[in-house]
Amino acid sequence: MDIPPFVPRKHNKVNENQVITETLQIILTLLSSPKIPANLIREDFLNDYPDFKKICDTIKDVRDLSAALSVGELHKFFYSKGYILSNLKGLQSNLRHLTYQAQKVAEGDFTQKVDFLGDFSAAFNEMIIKLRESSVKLTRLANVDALTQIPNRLALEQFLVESYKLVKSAGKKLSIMICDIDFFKSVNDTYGHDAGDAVLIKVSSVLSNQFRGSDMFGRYGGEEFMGVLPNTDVQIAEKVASRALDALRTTPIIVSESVTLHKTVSIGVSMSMPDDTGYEDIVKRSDEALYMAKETGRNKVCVYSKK
Amino acid sequence: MRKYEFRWELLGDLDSGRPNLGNQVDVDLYRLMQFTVRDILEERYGADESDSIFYAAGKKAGAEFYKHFIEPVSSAEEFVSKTQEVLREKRIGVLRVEEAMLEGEGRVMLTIDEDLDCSGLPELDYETCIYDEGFVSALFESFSMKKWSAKEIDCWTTGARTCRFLVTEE
Repeated sequence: MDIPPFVPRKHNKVNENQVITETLQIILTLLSSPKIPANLIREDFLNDYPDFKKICDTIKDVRDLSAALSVGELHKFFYSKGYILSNLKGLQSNLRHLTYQAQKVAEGDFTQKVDFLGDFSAAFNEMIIKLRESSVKLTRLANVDALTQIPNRLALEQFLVESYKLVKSAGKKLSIMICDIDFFKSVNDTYGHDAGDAVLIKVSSVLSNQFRGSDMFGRYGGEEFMGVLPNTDVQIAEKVASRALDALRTTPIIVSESVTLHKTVSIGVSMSMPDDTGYEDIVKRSDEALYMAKETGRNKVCVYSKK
Repeated sequence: MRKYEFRWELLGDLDSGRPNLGNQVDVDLYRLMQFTVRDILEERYGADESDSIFYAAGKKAGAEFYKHFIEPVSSAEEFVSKTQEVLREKRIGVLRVEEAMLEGEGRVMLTIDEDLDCSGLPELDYETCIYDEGFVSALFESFSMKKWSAKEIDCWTTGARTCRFLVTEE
């Protein structure tokens, strides 16, 4: 079908209703035409009919935005106005919100919630609940010692890093104690590993009860435990260690129907010092103090002192 | 000596002042006040100056709002979530973030659904939320202590069904 030639009028003499009628005629012709003649949309034509140009621009934007959305391209912005384009922009905006929220979830923020995408919102929110539950479970698995159910070495080290930051930034004191069960090997050798496990569980339970909520007591490895006491000087830490020692001394450990043991620990204590370069320095001194406690009779607390 | 310089005390004690009517009022009456003030401002000073005054007033409101309802916040995440929470609680609008680069480039795109100033307005072919632009820019300035500006790029009055703002560090 041939498209009739269009005779443009001068813009300032055109009746608005005429323009609308003519514009609609052109659109209808174009819609029924197998191809649009290249010479139809000329610049002078568009300049003469700004309303038609506006419609063309809007249609172009609708076309481009819908095409972009269909492939998930969310970074194209369009400035034409109108209901259809605005709805597409609304969809684009919602998808961009969703992208932002998904990024936040990826960063570990499980408080994100979607309430603007119908059924998808419910699915997204359900996914976040499941992710949060899994995250809590995994964090626990990664940070809790499976046998004793107290913090493991990884959790202790993370806590040490955070606690030591306060030593450097706020001049806070940090005390660390290392506890080792005396003659633990003989428990395993004499009564078997189940008895050894029972001792570890009971000792960890008794000792951890001596610490404040702001401290951390965990299993450092084997039969060794560590207490980390932020904002605590060595005198207080020594008192906590002595209290822990006393508590354990008076606690019977039932390892089987016929065997009840009494176990003791040796404890080394040290505190942060101005020349320290990391928490490792305090751990090293506490370890030396523990060695002293072991060397000088066990079942006692030794505070690090310079030789 | 200023006569009308803003202080929160000037808003009065609503509990004792409105024991029966409370502290809520219809949105159309809020808009009535805003649109009539704007009408007179335009009449006397022209549209551009009226917009400029509205932007500045929004900016002042945003800064005061931040001090009164948002701070203290310690991170960008907390700033965004607290602002979302308070804007919703105060029934100003539903804030959502499309992208947020508060550090470096300083570019944020956000939307406000059910915006107090413009949701439901007729199509007018121009963005109307100038006051919001100032308000939003001040929130970011107050949080970051840097200069930000906000421009509304989609609005109910231009056919959109949410207000979209591009906020950039100056």
